[in-house]
Amino acid sequence: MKKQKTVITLVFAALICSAACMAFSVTALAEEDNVAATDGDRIVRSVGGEVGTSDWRYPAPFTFYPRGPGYVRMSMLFDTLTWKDANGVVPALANGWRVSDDGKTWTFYLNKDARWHDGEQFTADDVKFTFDYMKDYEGEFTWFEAIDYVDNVEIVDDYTVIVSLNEPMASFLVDIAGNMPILPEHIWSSVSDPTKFTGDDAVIGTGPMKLVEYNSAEGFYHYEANYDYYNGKLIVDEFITMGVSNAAASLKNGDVDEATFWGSAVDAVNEFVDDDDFEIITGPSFWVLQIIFNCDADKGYPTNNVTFRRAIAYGIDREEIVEQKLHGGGVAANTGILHPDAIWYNPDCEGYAYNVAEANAILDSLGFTEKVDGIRQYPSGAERSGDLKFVLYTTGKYLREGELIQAQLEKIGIKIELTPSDWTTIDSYLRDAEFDMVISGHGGIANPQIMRIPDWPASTYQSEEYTSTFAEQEVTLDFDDRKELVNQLQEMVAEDLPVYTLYHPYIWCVYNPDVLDTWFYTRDGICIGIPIELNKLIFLARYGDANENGKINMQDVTVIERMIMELDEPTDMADANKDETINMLDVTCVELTILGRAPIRCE
Amino acid sequence: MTGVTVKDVLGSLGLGILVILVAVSIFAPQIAPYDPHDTYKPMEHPSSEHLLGTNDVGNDILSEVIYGTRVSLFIAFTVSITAIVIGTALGLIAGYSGGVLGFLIMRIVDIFLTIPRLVLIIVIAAFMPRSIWTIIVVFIIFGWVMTARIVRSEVLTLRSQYYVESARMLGGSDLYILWRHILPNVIPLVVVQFIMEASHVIIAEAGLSFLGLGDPVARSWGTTFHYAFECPNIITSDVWMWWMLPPGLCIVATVLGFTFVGYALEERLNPKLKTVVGMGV
Repeated sequence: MKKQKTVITLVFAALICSAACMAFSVTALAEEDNVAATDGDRIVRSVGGEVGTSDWRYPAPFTFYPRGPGYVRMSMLFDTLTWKDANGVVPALANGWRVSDDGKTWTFYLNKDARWHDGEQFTADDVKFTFDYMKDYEGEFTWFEAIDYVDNVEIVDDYTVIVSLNEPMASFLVDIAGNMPILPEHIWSSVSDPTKFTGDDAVIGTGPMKLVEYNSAEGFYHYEANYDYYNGKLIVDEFITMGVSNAAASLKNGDVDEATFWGSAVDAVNEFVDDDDFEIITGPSFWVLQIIFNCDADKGYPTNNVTFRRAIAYGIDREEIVEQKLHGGGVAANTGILHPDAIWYNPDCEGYAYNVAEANAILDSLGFTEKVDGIRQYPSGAERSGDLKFVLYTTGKYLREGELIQAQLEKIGIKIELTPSDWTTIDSYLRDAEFDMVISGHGGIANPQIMRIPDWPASTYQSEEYTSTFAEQEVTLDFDDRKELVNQLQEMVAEDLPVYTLYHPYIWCVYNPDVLDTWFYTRDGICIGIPIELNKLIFLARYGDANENGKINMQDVTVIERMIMELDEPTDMADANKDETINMLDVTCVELTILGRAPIRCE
Repeated sequence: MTGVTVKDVLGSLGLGILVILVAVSIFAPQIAPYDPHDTYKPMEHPSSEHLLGTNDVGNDILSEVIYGTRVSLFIAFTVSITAIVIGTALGLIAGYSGGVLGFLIMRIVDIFLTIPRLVLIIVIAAFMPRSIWTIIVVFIIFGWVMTARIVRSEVLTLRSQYYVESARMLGGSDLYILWRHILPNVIPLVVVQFIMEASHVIIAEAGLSFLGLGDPVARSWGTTFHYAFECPNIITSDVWMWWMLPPGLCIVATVLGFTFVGYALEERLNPKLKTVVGMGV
């Protein structure tokens, strides 16, 4: 019997040891996976997350996991009409575009050199087919919901399409044209269940990379260059993204060439500051951590009282959280949600600077005056009684923040029961309004579209003024007018506090410049606002002379000039628009102005 | 019996370790330099102010480890005492009464023994609300099984002993016989079982907490270990030396303490294992 017990004990000990050793063994594992570098081939290996969290599903248009990293892995294979670099919108499958004055008719002039990975020619038919397909299978492409704006698509000739919208859409150029992967008609026309279509054909696109291997269990993606790429010469032959258990260790060992770090990982980043073998770029994460309050009129007492929410806001010291948890790897957040580096940022929102006296005064005025052991009591006759106590849900990831908030709120007499849970459960609580407070975070806060209710996490918040203002900004084409509306939205959030924002972490990309040095952060995030650095344009030679003074000079004048020259010639496009001389430069400016981007060389 | 055996030495050593740990957990507030929830500058290296530095949110690591003793030992003792009481009771019933009840209990034991324990505990812990009580309940559910089986087989032997038979013939009630004659004879086995269970729970709890399935608010050694491992530069810098190593060593020390005591006691208390191997006879 003793022997048996000892054996069992040993097995447990072994299990713990093996878990602890995972960090080291995975390093070895990763080495096996690496493809031996042959002379002259440039292979870039990027950290895709921790082991077990680096799988973003099969990178086909309808199967990728609908979060930023999933989209990015798909975007390596599929190009969109437009794309973005560090300075804003750039052409992709569309060489150029123009928009009618009412903002409802968009004409795209397509690239004539683009080919699908299987050698077929890309044409306007594919573009029309994709729009129609997305409408037919609305909801299957879970990444966006704005396809409703598109009325119909008309083919003018093989390389010109006109997209008509039902209503003007201020963010069309990014949120649809720069977002929707164009599908090859010759493959997808026979696909009737797109979310189940995962074969080799499902990853044939026009993008700079082709998929070689995908391994779901290891979260391993292996791409090779599409040397026929229409949009410029490639400088990378193979690209790999995979899970490692400790990104910093893998970088130092040379198992990977690039890794991304967030927030409190600043400690790891600091270890690379003095290391000559690595370079670091810093970006805004366009990500916010926030407390979501239950504002539901029936179920949300007392957090459905805006005055009460303000007391909590005053009672939370966000600077302390940034200092203690992030170690300075972020900034206290804008209470209006949108990121301070975003063009839409409203700096005049009420900030609720930490103020215990104010918090206490508000709570006293609401009748929470009696205290037992320092904890306030519900006033008699209230919906709840006893200690002023809340359950604060969060995932294991933000427990530390939860602990800090717990300690801070105790100082104003509010007791917090910190309860870790998983996302699925928390989401169901949010949906049913069965919660008090939740700590949760999301990205995309460079784009006002993120503030749409109820997609936005504040699903219990109801305000007619907010909803109508949101709807109005969606169709406002004039940048200044739209900015004013978006400012108002932020002020409303800061005023009503359906959520109380805590911090915006920074994001860092640490890379080995000998392998690739074109890494950059995309203006307002890739596509609709993905903050990470995996923009497929890093594979292009013309982004290669970058990285001076830590700033990327990506101004790609040559491409724009080439475009203008092409358009100045009497081309098919000109035929299609006989009455007007197309001046690509001006058109781009108009579009960029609509988007609120700094215009590319407008003079 | 004049000499001191290796087992005696190890046993005393183990007992010493356990006494120290229990003392630490009782007097944690007096021993710990800080409240483990107080925050200071995060990620400080060891200094005279913070002997083991501070962790990712600025808690003093030494204080956290000292208070962690409380959590870890509390779980270990609560689980093993409860599991042993349940296991012994069921073992006594199964062994003494036999029949359908005994058969049923033993089949349940068989079922529990065939289930891979840690895997199932992980699954259950992942779905239940995270709290120290979840862990305790889950461990108890699986902790009584071995004891029940051992006690039962011992009772089966004892039941047919002459003095038990005599007591029965003299009209002693079942309860009296169980209490007066059988229980005292299984106690030595149960004590050893208790110690084995406690050391097992220490490791298993640390494992669960390390995987992030423990109660993150009650900071056991496993929880400290878990947060240390989440730190992005834990391997590439020296941080592991004062953040990961101390709770790890505490776990090792506790398990060794329990094992040594169990090792020494087992032979003392279990007549079947009594051998003549020793340094001096």
